[in-house]
Amino acid sequence: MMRNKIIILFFLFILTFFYLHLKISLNVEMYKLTSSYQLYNKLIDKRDALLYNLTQRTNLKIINQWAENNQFVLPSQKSLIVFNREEKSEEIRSVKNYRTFHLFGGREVFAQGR
Amino acid sequence: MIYTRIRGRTFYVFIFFFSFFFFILLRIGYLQLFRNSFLKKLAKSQRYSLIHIEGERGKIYDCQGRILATDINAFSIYADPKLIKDKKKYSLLLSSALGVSTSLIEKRLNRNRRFVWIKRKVSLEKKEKIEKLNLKGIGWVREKKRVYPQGSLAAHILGGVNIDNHGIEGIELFYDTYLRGKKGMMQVRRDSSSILLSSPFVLYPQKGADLVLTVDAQIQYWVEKYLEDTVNYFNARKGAVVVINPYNGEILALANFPSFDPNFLSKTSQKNLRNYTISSTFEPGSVFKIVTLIACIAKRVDEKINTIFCERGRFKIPGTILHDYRPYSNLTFKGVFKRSSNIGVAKLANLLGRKVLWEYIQKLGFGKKTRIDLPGEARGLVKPINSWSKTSSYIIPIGQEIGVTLIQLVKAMSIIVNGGFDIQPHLAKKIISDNFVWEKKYEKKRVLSPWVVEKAKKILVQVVEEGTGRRAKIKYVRVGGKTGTAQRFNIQLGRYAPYSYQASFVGFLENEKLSLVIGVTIEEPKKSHLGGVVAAPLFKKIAEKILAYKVLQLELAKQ
Repeated sequence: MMRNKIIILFFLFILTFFYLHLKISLNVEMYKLTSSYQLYNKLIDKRDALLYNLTQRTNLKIINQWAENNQFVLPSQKSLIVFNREEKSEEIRSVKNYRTFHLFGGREVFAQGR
Repeated sequence: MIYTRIRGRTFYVFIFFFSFFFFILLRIGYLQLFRNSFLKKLAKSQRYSLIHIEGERGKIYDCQGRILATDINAFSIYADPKLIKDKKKYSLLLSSALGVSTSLIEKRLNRNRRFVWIKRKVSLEKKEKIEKLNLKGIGWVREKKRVYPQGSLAAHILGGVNIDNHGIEGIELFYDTYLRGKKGMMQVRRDSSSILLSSPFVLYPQKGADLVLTVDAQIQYWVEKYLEDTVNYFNARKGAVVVINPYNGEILALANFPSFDPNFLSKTSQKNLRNYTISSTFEPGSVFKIVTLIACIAKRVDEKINTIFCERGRFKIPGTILHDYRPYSNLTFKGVFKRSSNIGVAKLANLLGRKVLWEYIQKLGFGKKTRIDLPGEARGLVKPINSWSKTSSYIIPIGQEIGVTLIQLVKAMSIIVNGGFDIQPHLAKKIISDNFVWEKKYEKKRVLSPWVVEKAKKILVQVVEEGTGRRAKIKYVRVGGKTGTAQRFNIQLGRYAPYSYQASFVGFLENEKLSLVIGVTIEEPKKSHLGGVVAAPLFKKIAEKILAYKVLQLELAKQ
């Protein structure tokens, strides 16, 4: 009789223990999840702030103004694009419509000619 | 005796404790049996709560994939006035950190409430500043904020949203149902120290669909810049430009000046918010002569007549006298349009008859909406044929007594350029969601014969080559168009206002790679009032830039 009681008590203890263990681990997981969400949100906040600051500084208006101030123009088919090439040892790739020109002072340029 | 007394006392103590525990038991029984569900709910509501998670609004891209509108995380700062003692100090600190006036914050803090907004949707930097101050009773909520990275660029196309991220203007309003995200929610639990714990029970929010526009932000930039330069140079009141692909109705740029910044929509005046390209009706003047031109060609009037006598610049019609800008005597059919003779066009229209003219006004889409995907489009003002006066059939063909929008003029020119097809001007190219990609298809319907429009195009090219639109001429490119100079009607005066004009030019350019229609209108220019002087050079500037840009794009695509 006494033995049976002990066995029942033991089982009850084991069940309660597992129940509490589950409860605690669930809470631990919830704390972990919360901190993950917090970290995720913080990172998103940071990303958005960076994106916002970047776009404020590099929007089309600013880029175009910079291009205009530095006198950049859209090349047309009739324009001559000249690249200043100081080093002669570099291999020149043959590109359609591009030729090597020799300028005064022995300098070479790689240019588009028609 | 003593024993009896002790027993008596014990009995009283027993009675006391018994009744005490009995009442407790009764109370427990009552709460368990009768108030069970109510109390359960109460406990649950104290421990668990639902947090709404805002669904992100869809992004808006231009046709090259540049972001025109997006959502970012922002922070709304609130206060619990009951927890704040020194309200003056708080308002000073918050004011310097947030850039809101001290008096406004103080007014809000003095409200008899437990929750007041201090400022909504502030940046991360500002929120961090507030956090560093460590003020009791001040908190923040994370919210989504609509941001337009390109600032005022394409403002009249994009429109804007209200504080709750709902579209209230422009494309944001028109496609609001697609762009708007769906709210989600998450169950959270409060622990003993009132910290909210996230639970796995989450209904994820749905992001709104992304929208890809037909607009090219780079072209839009040039259009806006040149328009602003022109309006400022001529000291005009306002101006508008539309650039469209005449073959498919894709709008590459649509601009108004003065404009606004959609990031600060609430601070914008209603006047600047208005999209004049679609909602402002004006008398087009000579640009409207394209209707008579088309009708005459279609009815072969041009083949029947050799010359038209233009009355040397003064022609009496019922009710008034028609004038030409310069006096002409005899002009050929082409000459009438090249020189933009009012008298010549009025005489031609009279030959056609009002019914034919009415038919072609309808065919070219005047008096009805173009069905552009923007809210607030005007129909224009076209008098029903039965209410035309005797004067009407002389002056409607020269663009008076009729109201049109710029988008209608551009659409009419597109019909001429694309071979006679009615197109629907539009801004949305694609709607992209997680589940689907909807590429919008727009119908085309033939309204004019190809030979009619080809003939009309040749005359419109001559208008630019030798006529009033010479300042729109571009070397090596086929450019055609029609200028327009209209006196503006003043409602307050009840007549045409002196020195108040609307200068317009609607033209097209074509080469083997590109075809575009560009419509320009400038209201009340001061230095000159002629469409050929004010609007045509702006057309040329825009067209040249787009040509170079598009040709370069095509070259790069080939490589």
